[in-house]
Amino acid sequence: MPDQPTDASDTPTEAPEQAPDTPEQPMTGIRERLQFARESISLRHVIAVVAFVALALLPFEAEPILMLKLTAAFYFAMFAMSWDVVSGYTGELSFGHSFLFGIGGYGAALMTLEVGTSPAVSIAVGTLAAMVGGLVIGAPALRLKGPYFAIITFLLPTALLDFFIVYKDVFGGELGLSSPDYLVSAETQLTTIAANYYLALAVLAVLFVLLYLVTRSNTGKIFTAIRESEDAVGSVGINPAKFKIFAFVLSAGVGGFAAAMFVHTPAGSPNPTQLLAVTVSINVLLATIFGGIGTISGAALGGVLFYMVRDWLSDITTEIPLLGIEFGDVDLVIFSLVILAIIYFLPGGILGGIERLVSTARGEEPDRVMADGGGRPLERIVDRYRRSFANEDGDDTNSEPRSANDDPERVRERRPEDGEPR
Amino acid sequence: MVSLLSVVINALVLSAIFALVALGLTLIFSVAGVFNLAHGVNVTLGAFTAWYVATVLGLSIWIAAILSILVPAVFSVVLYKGMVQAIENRPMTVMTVTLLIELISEYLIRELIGLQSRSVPALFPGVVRFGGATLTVNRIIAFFTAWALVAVLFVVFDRTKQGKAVIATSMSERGSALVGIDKSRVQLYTWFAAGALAGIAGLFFGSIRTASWDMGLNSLVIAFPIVVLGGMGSIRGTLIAANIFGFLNVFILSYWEPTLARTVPIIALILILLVRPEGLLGREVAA
Repeated sequence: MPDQPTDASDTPTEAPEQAPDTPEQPMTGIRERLQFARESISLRHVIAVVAFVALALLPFEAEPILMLKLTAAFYFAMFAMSWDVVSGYTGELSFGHSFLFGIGGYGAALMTLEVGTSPAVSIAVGTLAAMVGGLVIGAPALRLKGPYFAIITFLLPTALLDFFIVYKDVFGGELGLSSPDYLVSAETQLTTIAANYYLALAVLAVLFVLLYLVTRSNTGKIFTAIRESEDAVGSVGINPAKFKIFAFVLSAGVGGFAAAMFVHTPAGSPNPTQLLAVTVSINVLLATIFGGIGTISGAALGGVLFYMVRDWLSDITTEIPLLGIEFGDVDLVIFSLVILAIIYFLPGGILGGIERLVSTARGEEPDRVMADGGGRPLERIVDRYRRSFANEDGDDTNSEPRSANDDPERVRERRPEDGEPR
Repeated sequence: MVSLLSVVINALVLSAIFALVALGLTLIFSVAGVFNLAHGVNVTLGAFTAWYVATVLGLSIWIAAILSILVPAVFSVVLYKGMVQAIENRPMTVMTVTLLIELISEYLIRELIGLQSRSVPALFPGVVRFGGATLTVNRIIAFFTAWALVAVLFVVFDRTKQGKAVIATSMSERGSALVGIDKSRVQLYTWFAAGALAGIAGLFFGSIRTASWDMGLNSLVIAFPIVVLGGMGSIRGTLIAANIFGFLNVFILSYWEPTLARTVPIIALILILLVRPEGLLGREVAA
């Protein structure tokens, strides 16, 4: 998948950091920025490798329950990465990725439980089903811009859950289905848990590399370009629809595959709370914002951290003063407040925060450039949404969600006037 | 089986209450240009304020009713001033932030009050018989109050300077600024009115049905299809769409599968957005 159609090979979106950089030359301002971009990538690599090695060594020390939790956290991180591909890169904000996880997980579990196929086959079927679901979500995105699309995605998992509740004989309703056989199991329970832990870590690593390569390839640059301006992408002869659909199907494939694997482990089972609830979609979004949106590595890091920190919070039984509620009962509230603070004060997420700390410590200027060039992903998504919302100046207001972006003339006219501070 | 007449009356009452919720959502969208996903909190606040004041504190239901309007209205203004105003040029962030607030409030209600639903005492006890159907006075009052409020809204928008300023801002932000309309004040009116309307809706939901922790998100799930079908920012369209979805909701509840009462509007919303994204009367306010 990283190798991609040739028609995109000479686009203006080709990022400058690919240009050969000779350090002997005098550094211009741009060059400094490129230098920074490269350093931030390498810092990310260091973090990723250290984390991976630490996690790989962990089972020799850890309790089985911690391994189970981490296994679930790894799958959750995969969910977050699959969300990041669509929402962080193409900028189509999805509030309902659990729709895809639900299709993948339930589809695979039903194959194992009802049809009786082996888990491996079931996982393949579940993944395919989720990819079809990705097409179903992706198709409206071609027609609807930003906020309207977000509303649809927000409501889709609820509709699917209602469907599962109505046909609870097949889908198990609110309680979910019973756990299917594990994909890997061993003689003792401890070995089974450890095997599933390593499997999850391996799958996380493979999917991470896959998504990392795709988002850093030319295809990924086109995703980013779509986020910035679909018109610009179309104007150089690339069909944005094709790439948006590809992003959706890729995301659905990754998310659905992760969900299908997840239900075949001791850590997960096909039930709404783990796969389909509104909170799953929101947690994925929170985790990615927490880690740093539009970076894949931020989603992976944020996913694991989010899951583990929430789990740790939920065990705290200290009472909150005045309210008389235990901390653990409102862990999601606390986390939501933290995310609110991050949205307002640290738009790059914790990964962005770490990088900024490091660059400040090195005496460099604060980062303006992300790994793929341009401003921060969150800023650019925001900008894109503002443009699709920005229909306040014409008299053909509010009704036509597509009007603002369909007419490049208007968009170009409006931009300088809009100059709100970001 | 329930008689058709009482189902129709139920549907009319429910549609009127849905309209109150949806009107606030569409007003905020047309004036501020953002989807307020925390709008459901106003409904929940209205219902639980009424319940708390009337049942727990044991005060008169009328004090409870007034507070159940004021508390959400103030909450709505505080939400705008405190959180949304700083990011109002970033609709995607507004959506994320307001959604978080909706979820936080849901969790807090669940923790503080619990999972079981509560009922708000009736404003007017008693029943009347009407053509073979028995209905509570409460429902009739709810229906007429809701429509009276809509009428007031129309008068405000047509006759008062403040109302005209709201419509003008929704039509063209720049144009309204040119004629000297203070946008931030218009925003305050709008968020206040939206909160108050939703609070009243919550009060009626609480006394006709029950107040439950998930009522906010559930009313949002029905309000979005209404707003989109009516056409973003259109008041008349919202009223028509509220009745369409109100009837749909009650008929599905009475004659089909209750769970689908939430699903069908969602699927309808997706179809509307794909086929006719501007809704029924999408250009009305702007024209």
